[in-house]
Amino acid sequence: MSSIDPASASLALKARIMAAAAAAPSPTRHQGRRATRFVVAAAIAAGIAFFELGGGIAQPGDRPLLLTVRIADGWALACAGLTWLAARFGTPQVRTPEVLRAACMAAPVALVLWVARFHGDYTGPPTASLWACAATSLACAVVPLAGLLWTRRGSEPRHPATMGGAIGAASGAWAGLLGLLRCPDTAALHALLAHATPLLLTTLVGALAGARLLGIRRRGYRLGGLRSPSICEPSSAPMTASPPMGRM
Amino acid sequence: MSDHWREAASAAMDRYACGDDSAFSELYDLLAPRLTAFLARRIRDDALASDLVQQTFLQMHASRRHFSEGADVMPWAFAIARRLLIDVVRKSGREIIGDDGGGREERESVAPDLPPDRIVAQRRLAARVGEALERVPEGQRLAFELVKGDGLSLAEAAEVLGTTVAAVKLRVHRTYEALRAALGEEMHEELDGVW
Repeated sequence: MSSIDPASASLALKARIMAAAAAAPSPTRHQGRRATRFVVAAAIAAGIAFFELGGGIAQPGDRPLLLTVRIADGWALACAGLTWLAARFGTPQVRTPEVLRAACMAAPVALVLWVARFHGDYTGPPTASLWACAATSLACAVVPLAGLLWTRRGSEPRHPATMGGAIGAASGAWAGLLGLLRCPDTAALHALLAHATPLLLTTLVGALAGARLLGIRRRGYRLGGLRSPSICEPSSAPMTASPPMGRM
Repeated sequence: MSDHWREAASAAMDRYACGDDSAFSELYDLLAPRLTAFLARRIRDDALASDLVQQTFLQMHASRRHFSEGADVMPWAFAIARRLLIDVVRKSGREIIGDDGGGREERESVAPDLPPDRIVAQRRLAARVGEALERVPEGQRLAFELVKGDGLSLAEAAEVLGTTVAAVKLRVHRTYEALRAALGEEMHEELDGVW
């Protein structure tokens, strides 16, 4: 039997939780969206900066601009779809992780098939460097991947690795789009090694980092710098007015 | 089971996500008893259960910006609580569930307007259900308790557990069969009263 009335213990617990929440305000949905928009804008700027530093859009040989646009716009649609899935994951529209996992796994395959579809349409010199294309794709994906993982940290109790993988896939897909804008080589092998492999890598990195960053773990929460006291741990925080709870 | 409180809880969480800080208190009042019951069924330590309730709410507070507009707060809250519980079990090696019959008996809610002999019978049955549930694998037991004990739909339980509706349905069915084998016909008449 308890030496403390359960009702008063519950009230004390509520008071502690309310006090901890009030002492360490968290961002609202509006503020969260604003932060995400900022991260996305920064990621776009960083991606374009990397892209321009690497030479920007190139029209190798006599490749017509229309062909470049056709390669890019189809893949941009796939990127938008992947981004939508990642952004809506956990909402009523996208609840099943299987859909997201399948999309992430299908993305590199779709990229190879899409690029290879244009093989032969362009007769210029296929002088693309495998390493240059891969480096462009990876470099352009770093900022959006890191930024989006940071904005979603500690938010996914069920499938953090899947969520991280989806963020990685979306980041890698958009970065791959920039790579396609300047890559003259539409051979399937080149697409596989120089474009699909970085996409797969960013997906895997996102999944690994997501499992670590996006998941929920029991800890002394540092909310705005104030440690919320845990009933079961000795705490030096100032919100320990209520006595330790006994068994009810 | 009325879903009114669930809608109210989701609406409160929605308001809280939008910045209405007073909604957090309302959310606590609606969710805390369910979360406490959910956690207390799984661990023997009531202080630890309270600690996990606290951490669940603080996690919800910290993540309120991620709560989707129009979403149901219940599966989200239960998923957070379950994740924290798993973390505790992994770190400390504590025993999950394995509730002793007496503790369960004390916790089960029995309608106060029932005659005393009926209350005693229900408590006895609750203890037997608890014993039978202890022999069921953890995954099946959790699915069963989420659906039958916490009133989640199959889809919501699947969300909490991170699995498919079909898998939850199968687990609940297997647990039900195990209980029926253990309790016999008595279960058909009384189980609804216990849960």
